[in-house]
Amino acid sequence: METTFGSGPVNSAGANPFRTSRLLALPVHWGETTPETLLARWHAAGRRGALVGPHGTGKTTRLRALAARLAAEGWTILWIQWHDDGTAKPADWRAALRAAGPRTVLCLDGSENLGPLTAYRLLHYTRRAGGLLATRHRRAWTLKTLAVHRPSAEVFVAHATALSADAADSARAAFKAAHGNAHEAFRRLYLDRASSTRV
Amino acid sequence: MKPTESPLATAAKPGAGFGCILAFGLLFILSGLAVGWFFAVRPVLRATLSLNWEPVPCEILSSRLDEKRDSDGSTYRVEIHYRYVYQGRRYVGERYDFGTGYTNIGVGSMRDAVRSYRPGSQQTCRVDPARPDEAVLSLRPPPGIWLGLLFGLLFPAAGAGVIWSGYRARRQARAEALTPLAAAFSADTPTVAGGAPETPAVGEVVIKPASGRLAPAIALGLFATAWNTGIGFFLFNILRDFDGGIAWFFVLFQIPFVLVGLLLLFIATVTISQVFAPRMELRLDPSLVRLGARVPFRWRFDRGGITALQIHLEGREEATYRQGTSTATDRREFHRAPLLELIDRLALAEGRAEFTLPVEGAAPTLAGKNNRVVWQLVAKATLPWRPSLVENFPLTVLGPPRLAPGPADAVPVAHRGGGLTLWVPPAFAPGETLVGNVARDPGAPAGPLTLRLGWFTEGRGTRDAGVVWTRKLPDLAPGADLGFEVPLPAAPWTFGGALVSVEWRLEVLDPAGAPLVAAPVVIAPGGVAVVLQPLAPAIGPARWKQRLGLGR
Repeated sequence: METTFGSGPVNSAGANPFRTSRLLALPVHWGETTPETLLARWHAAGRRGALVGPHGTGKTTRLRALAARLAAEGWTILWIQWHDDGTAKPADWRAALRAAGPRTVLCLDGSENLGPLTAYRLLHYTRRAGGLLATRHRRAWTLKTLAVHRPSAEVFVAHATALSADAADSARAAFKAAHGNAHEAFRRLYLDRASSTRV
Repeated sequence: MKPTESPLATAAKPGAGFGCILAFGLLFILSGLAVGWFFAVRPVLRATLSLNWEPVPCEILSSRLDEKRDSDGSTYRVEIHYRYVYQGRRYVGERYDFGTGYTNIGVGSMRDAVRSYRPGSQQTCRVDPARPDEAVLSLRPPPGIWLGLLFGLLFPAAGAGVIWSGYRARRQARAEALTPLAAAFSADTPTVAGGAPETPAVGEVVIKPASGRLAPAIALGLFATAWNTGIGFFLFNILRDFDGGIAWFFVLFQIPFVLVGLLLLFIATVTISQVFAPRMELRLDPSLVRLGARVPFRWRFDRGGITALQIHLEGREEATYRQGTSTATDRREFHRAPLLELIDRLALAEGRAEFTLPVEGAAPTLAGKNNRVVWQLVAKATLPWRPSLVENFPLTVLGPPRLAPGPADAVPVAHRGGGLTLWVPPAFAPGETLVGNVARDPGAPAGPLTLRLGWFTEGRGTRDAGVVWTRKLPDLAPGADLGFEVPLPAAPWTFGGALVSVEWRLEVLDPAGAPLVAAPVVIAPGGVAVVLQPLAPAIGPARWKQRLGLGR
């Protein structure tokens, strides 16, 4: 049931088609590199590898989907995320990493935010873990690249039109203006919609 | 949203390893102290102590500028030998001053020293009476002392800053770990969680500005100094040895760094000048700051110099979105009311005024981690020959003391799922009591249940949620029903803005915590969700002025 504002339903933040909860519920677009391919490459690389690509190309979304598949296969998933504002989740991630056993897969999102020394020591911390899957903006010599993700206007427009059928043109424009960063492009679409429709 | 998905179960614990930050900060501090000690404090200390040494005639045996070359360039020291007699015994001294060795700072003065102390000339050295083999020719501070002093101050300051910010982040992470959301799941008693501001005590208090002036000024000042010292050092060396040819490349390469340095100096100068600008003290009674209320306030500047003063009241939504590793915060105003504009210097030094908080199209302060409703008084003071001073005074705005009650004729609505039927009226006013009923279908399996009432956000930001009430139902038999009452909190209200919406939801959970049935409820004055109508965002130059805090 939709909350009613004033005299009837209106387009508020809770009804904006590009609101966060809907973005997070979008299906994963795998393209040519299916999850089976990625996991096969990961196993072949000694269960250590990275998804590489710039901001807003779906690395975190794919990592989350791969983590769900591995959890379904019986692996214990330990999710650690480093944000670009210097924070990390969980805060005691070092202790969590050290405690990881042979049935634990470490999903490390945003590991490029670590300093070089910590990134190197990460390999030492994680040697007992069953596997390691990471996202990075650039290739790393310490971790095999499983796939390189690039911005795709077609995929972005498909996602945007899934959220709002009339958004194809504005989605193309937003994607171009955001230089292929889907986060920023969705932000633009949200704010455009919030500005164009009175709440 | 499906009833079996719960938006109330969100949690986040940001923070960084404090041990690592502490070690890193201590490393900076110790490195800085070591550099400061060896290159500044120790030479000055030794030079000061040697003032008590005994002046003794000496003869210069040899003097030259010793040069050491490596891949980084050349460094120099004054290599000098002199002979002196003390208490009938002959000694040969080699110390020119209390410098620490080879350096490329102050080469000119070293050359002058070599010229002054020619071999065969008679000079005066100072001899340590306790150890006559210790002597020195020059008591002037060595040329590298200022650089040593600078690094000796900058590095410990930077290290202390790192430790302090790490300590604050840890303290914040600990505070967040104690979120009432977690407590609400284990407690059987009503618990107010997040979002709702506490009722303040009655009485006038000083409202602190949202941000201080000293910390940014120190940080920017140190950064600008460190940047320009480094660039200046490189530039000095390049220009000193400049002989055309390939060196042009290095000169041109430095240009953008020099420009950044100049820009930093400008910004640091402006920021530091703000530290010494007049301070505005704003006083009001926070218990009066309620929607629909007239709130008197007083202000006073601690010194003169202000030529104009503008104050306005501002209400805005803020939404922070975290996805992947990136974070973005958007802001949108929904209320703006100019309060006063003064150019009479006597009248603006101190005074009284009042503002009226709107009652329609406004919501109380919401202080979520990612989603916020922010109210503030914004004061813009004009200063001659300096950028205007803009200070924001955040206000914690409560709901009105008397609210329109929820609909009297609200009929409970049935929500079915998971073998349960949940009867709840759809709308209430804040502070009212929600009366509902939950019934288990005759054929449904038995098992413990939990009732839970909470709010969550929708919109641009990453979701915030809070649980305000839970109750365990250990033995609701099939075919039986149970009535319950929930005292509703004063905030947050159900509202919808351009960036943030707040919605309320009553859920019945299975033993694993999964919702079996859920009922949306509106908690707002009159039982009608509030609409925050966004004001048109600033565009063009006004937008940049807004971003730079230069007013509208």
